[in-house]
Amino acid sequence: MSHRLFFWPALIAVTLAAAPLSAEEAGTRVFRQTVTVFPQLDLQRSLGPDVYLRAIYECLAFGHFRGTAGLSLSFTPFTIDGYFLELAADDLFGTGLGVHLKAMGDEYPEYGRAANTLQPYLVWRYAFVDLAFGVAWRFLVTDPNWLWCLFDYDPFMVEAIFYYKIGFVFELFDKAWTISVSLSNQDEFYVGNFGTFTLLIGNRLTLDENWSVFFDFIWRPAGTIALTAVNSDFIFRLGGRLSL
Amino acid sequence: MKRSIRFTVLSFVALILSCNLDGWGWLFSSDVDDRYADNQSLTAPTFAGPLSEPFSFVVIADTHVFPGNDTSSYFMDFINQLIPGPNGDRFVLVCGDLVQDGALADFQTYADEAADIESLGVTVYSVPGNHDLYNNGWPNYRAVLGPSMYTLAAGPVRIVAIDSANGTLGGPQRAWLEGVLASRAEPYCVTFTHMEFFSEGITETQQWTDINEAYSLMHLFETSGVNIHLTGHTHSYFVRTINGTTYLTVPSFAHGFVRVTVSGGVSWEVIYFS
Repeated sequence: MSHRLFFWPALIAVTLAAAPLSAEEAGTRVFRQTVTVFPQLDLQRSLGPDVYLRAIYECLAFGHFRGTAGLSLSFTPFTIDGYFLELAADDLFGTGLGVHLKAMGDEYPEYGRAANTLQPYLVWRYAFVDLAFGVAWRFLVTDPNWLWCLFDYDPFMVEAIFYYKIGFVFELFDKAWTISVSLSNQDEFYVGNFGTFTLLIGNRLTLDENWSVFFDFIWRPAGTIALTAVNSDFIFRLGGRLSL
Repeated sequence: MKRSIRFTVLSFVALILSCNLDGWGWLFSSDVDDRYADNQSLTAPTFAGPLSEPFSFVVIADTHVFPGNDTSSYFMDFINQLIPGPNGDRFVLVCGDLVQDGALADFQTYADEAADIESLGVTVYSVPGNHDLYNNGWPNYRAVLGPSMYTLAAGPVRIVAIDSANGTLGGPQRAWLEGVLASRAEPYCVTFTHMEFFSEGITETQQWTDINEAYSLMHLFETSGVNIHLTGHTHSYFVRTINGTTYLTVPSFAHGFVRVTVSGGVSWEVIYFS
């Protein structure tokens, strides 16, 4: 039932992704590269604090097509704990609609396992609204020889998870200060379960046309969907972004 | 636009009210660390009498006792399926969501039903689920049933009751669990709790928020030699064995139960009510 439920949205997403841009848009050959680096402090109530150093590279082509890669380094233990590759086509035909496909690996070598997540999802960014809906297929990897293979998908170890984000972005002072608020079950290096939500409050200050700095506060409660919420994680990020 | 927002808000409120859920629980609930502190002054249950292989025990989950739910007939059907005797079913583990919304009267009804089972010489051990915490349900649970996290030896089996009703263990319970598993002397180990680790369907509300914590726990179970980790919550039978530890989700009480047999090893079968 669950897979049939997502058959038609997936088909629509694939169709939209295959649709060519207009010649006018394709003629606008603009490449814009962005590098984002930030340390992250994660206060997890059961496991204690952890510090991460994360970097995301993004290449935007023609104002619509986007390729993104991310790498996360954990300090307890000291290891690469996450990475992803993402392809996207955004703002198709000026509708604000976009299709994304993301392959993400969350590594837990200290536990002898990894989670490879395949995430096809739709986004709609229009005015101050930022929505994302899709599915995340999370594949558990327990074979130590395959922990670092991003595309190891064992069908007997899969979980299907509804992927969502309901966000709002407010640009103030001539876009110098951006405030974003979102409710979701995911972020760049994480997909939680359907029964949980992540509240993100982000601030980004644009310094000039190349540089910006940001501060994010993230709260992840546990047990939320069935209304027995307690704090699970508090996350703080402070980073910089360079656009070329 | 305003109408659609109003409709959405009213629908959400109606859903909350119709399910008799605890709306404030969306943000705040009984805290697992507070329950851990409470547990320090509560007496852990024990298993009385000798117990040696072969024998069996039974696992149920999600009884959801509340006025109007005909759980008495479910309990009657269940009692009729129990196998008495020294080599039969010696105890019952209940994996949470004992009652629907944390009401004291419902916990007392549940305790009465459990007493009927225990009158057959089959001891009942319970843990709380998220439904048991609704509407400040923990004081009611504690008053009627006692601790939410405990361990006991039942013959050759170390049993560990884990409180996962909030979808997280918390630091103190986590440290306690590590100590229990590290010091056990019994050849078999069975853990039981409410929240399961895996989501089988896209709309299942599996509640381990942080997969880091979930994977950490699974690693702890597997390296500690836990034979079976028993859970409820999703009302559907599910089993997966990883590195020697079996993760088994029990069907809801309305549909069936699982019988675990200890005889030179640990095996199980799922039994559905006809």
